[in-house]
Formats: sequence, structure tokens, C-alpha cells
Amino acid sequence: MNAREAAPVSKITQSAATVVPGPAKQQRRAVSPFKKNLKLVFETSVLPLLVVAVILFLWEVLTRNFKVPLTLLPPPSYIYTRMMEVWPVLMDQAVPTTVESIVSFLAAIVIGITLGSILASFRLLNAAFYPIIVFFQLIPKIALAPLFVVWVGIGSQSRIEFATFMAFFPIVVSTMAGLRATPPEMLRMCKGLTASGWQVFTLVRLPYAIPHIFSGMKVAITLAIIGVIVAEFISAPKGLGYLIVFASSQADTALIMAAILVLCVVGLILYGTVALLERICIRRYG
Amino acid sequence: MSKHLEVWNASKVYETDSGPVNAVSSASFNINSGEFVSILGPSGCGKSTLMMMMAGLESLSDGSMINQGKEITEPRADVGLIFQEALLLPWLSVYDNVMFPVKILKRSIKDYDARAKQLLNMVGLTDFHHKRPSELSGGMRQRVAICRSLILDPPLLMMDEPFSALDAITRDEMNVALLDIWQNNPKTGVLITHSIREAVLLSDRILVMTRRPSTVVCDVKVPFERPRDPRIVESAEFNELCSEIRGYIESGYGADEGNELRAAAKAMASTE
Repeated sequence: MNAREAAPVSKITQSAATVVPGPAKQQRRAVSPFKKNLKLVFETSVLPLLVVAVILFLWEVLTRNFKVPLTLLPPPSYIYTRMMEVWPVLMDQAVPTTVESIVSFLAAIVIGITLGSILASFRLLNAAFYPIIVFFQLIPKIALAPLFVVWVGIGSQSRIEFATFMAFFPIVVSTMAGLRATPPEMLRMCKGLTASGWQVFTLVRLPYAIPHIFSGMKVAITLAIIGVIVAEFISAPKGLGYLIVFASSQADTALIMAAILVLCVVGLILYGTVALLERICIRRYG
Repeated sequence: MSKHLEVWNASKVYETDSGPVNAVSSASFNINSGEFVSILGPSGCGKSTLMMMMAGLESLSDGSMINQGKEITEPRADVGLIFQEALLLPWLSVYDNVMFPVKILKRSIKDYDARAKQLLNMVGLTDFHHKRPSELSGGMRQRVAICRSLILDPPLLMMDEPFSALDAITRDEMNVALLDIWQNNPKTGVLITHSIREAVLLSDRILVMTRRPSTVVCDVKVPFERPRDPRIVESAEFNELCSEIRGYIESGYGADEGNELRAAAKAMASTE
């Protein structure tokens, strides 16, 4: 083994000592974390709330000032008083809508993931059914609601069936897309470990599919709610959709808006729950 | 020494739009138990395809491959595989990734717990058992992949350019680490690489492959003794051997039947 020549270190350090120091850097004042947080809170929460407050204020002032008829556009204060008047009724009607939305959503998840998994696992089935699924995704399924009334009748179960039909397509499509998301080298590595098809599906392909499936689920929950409401519009003795139809028959615009407001809150809570679950799962499976 | 792997006349032909492509043409060689053999060649010479066939992940178009007396038709649990990318499951911790083969074979995790911890400590990942792959550097991930391939203590370990995706400094460190691991856990080893120095440092034998045709042109024995000191890379004999092998690769445009190419390459090496 040849002895390495000692590097001329002394030469390097000598030249470093003769470097002329540059101009003194300007010190920038550091932004305090308190100020940074304040800015964040201001921009994400306070600013939008301010806009909403301004809109409500203008709405109130302009409708009262121009004496807009109550059946056309009631001022927010009037909507509020009406809402408080019928609060127990609102809550009563919100329950069946919410429950049916949740049940449809869960049914859509089970059917959607199962069907999506089957179609993604067998190439011929995939080729046969995928165009049909895409076709159904594109047509406005809401238009099929009256057809569903003919087929499955009216009543809670039929509303759930219709809403499930609306909601399960995005889950099928996103499950299929997600199951394709596993990198092929990963599948090869699993094959090298002599993993069975089922093991690869449950231990590798499904976890890789989870972010995609959640995207589909977020679309599905909104469609489930829409499905329930539309079914209630057409034929229902209860629910927020029914309440909206009833209120419009009475020209009670304030009640319509109150019902819509409650519906929005229900929708936000359900969507928010799914989004929160997504956050948790992505952190684990991301 | 008994034969661990026998490869005879192995060929792989791919049908492409522009006609059939010979990825591997009639490769024949044997690998004995306990040997560390490198398959060395430039990009596109078919060495990765050859390893995929030896691992049972690709079918042969012609010829045969035998692993310990049994024909290779599919992957086997007693063959450890390391690929160019670490391929760790992103949602599992380092420890769970190393345990993955145990889970696949439905064996008891408890039985392998001590071995997993020992392997991780050996590669220098003692404090990283609960980290996720996204928190590790490329070199560390590849080290986890090495532990995963060793957890079941397979008698044969095959590696397809495991350090190609790493930077040069990490790659040198990993070579020394691999040498260390292999010398402490002796088994049959097959390394696919395009680095001549890596092959000479780690192997007992080097099978040199060329492209067009994609076949093994010569079988070079690496004469350095075991256990090998990583510092032999500085020695004159090491570098001469590297030059000789480079000669084979550069001049080997066909199977060397009369050893003329070998003589020419040696002549080239001695005049450098």
C-alpha cells in the first residue's frame, strides 16, 4: 500500500488568513412569533368573517330601506326570528335528513369500495364495466330521481337507495384509481417476497389507495345529502327537503332560508367529519 | 464447494414494436455456495434482466436456471432481494418494514424481534426503529432494505445495483458496510453492478457482461484474501485488476473463445 502524500494543509490555511473581510451585513429585525400568528389568524379567519359581516349588514340595511317584500328576500334579522320561532320543528326535520344522508353515505362506501376493488382486480371486468361507470358519472343522476320513485317507491328506504346510488359512483372510480396507484416496483418487490394476491391487496394496494378513496368519499358525502334532499323534494312527509317544499308552498321565504341554513350546517358538519378522518388517515398512510 | 445456482444457456427475448430484442443471449455460469459473485457490465447489457430471471420474477425464453437443485419458476422465500430503490412501505416504521417478510410468511414476529434489532444496530440505525421512511435519507432507506432482505437469513442474497441511486460518498460507505455485513453473515451473494471498483472490492468472482450480444464474456477470479480490508482499494494490485477488467468490457464485443481478448486487455493494462 502506497503511503499517501500529506496534503499541503498549511498552504490552505495561510491563504484563508489573508482574505479581506467584506462589508458588515445589515441585521434584519426578526418578526416575533406572536405577530406572525396574529397575521395568520387575521388572514384566514377574521378577514372572511369581516366580509360576511359586511354582506349581512348590507343585506339587512338594503332590504329594509327599499322595503323589499318579505316573500321575495327577507332581511337576516327576520330570518333569524322566524328560525327561532320554528326551531323545534327545524331540529325535528333535520334528524331524518341527517340520518338518511349518513346511512346512504356508509352504504355507498361499502358498495363502492367492494365494487371498485373487484373491478380493479380483474382486467376483463375492468375493461367491461369501466366505460359504463364513467358514463353514469357524467349523466345528471338527479334526473333519475322520479324514475327511482317509480321503481322503489317512496319512503325512507327508497330515499336511502336513491342517495346511495348517487353517492357510490365517485367511490368506485376513486377506489379503482387508487388501487392503480401502487408503484409497479413495489408490487415486484412483494412478488419477490412470495406474497399472495390477497396479502398484496390488503397490505400494500389498499393503503396506497386510501388518499384517492378519501377524495371520492368527500364527493360522495355531498352527493348523498343532495340525493336525500332531492328525494324529499319529490315525495316525503318529513325532512329538511320536505320542509323547504312546504315552506315554498306557503310562500314562507324566511322559512325556506332558515331550512337551507340548517341544511348547510348539517352538510358542513358531515363533510368536515370526513375531511377530519382524511387528515388522520393521510397522516398514518400518507 | 457445492453449486448454489446453475445457469445454462439462459436467454430472454422481448417482443417489441420494432422487432424482437435480445435482452440476454445464452448466458451460462455457475455460482457456488458461499461465494460472492458480481455480474458487471455497462447499462443495457441485460444484467438486471438476468437477475430478475434468477429471482424467479421473469420467465426465461430459452435455457434453464437451477437453484439448489430445483428449477427456478417463481420467487422463493429463501432468496433475499435488494433492488435499486429501497421500496419501503411509507406508512410502516423502519422496524415494521424490516418485519414485513416475516408478516408475509405468517411467522411469529416475536421470534424475529431480536434479529431485527440486531440487524438494524449492525447497519447503524439503532435510534431509528420507529422512524418512517420519509424521515430517512436515501442511504439509510437502502440500509433498511438490506436488513429486510436479511431478516429471514436466506442462504442466497441477490442485489440489483443497490447503491446506484446514492451519491458517491454514501455509495463508498455502503460498500464498506456491505462488505462488513457479508463477512459477518456469510451466504451466497450475487451483486449486479456497473462499478468495476465495487465489484472488485466485494466479490470472489466477477462475471463480465457486454451488450450486443448480451452475454457473459468472461469469469474473473478476484485473488484478494478474505476477510477483506476496505483499504485494498488503494493498492496497486487492486487497480491493475480494475484496469484489466475495464479492458475486457471495452474490447469484449463477443464471447471470448480463444482468450485473445483477455491477453490483449492484459497487455493494455500492463502498459498503463
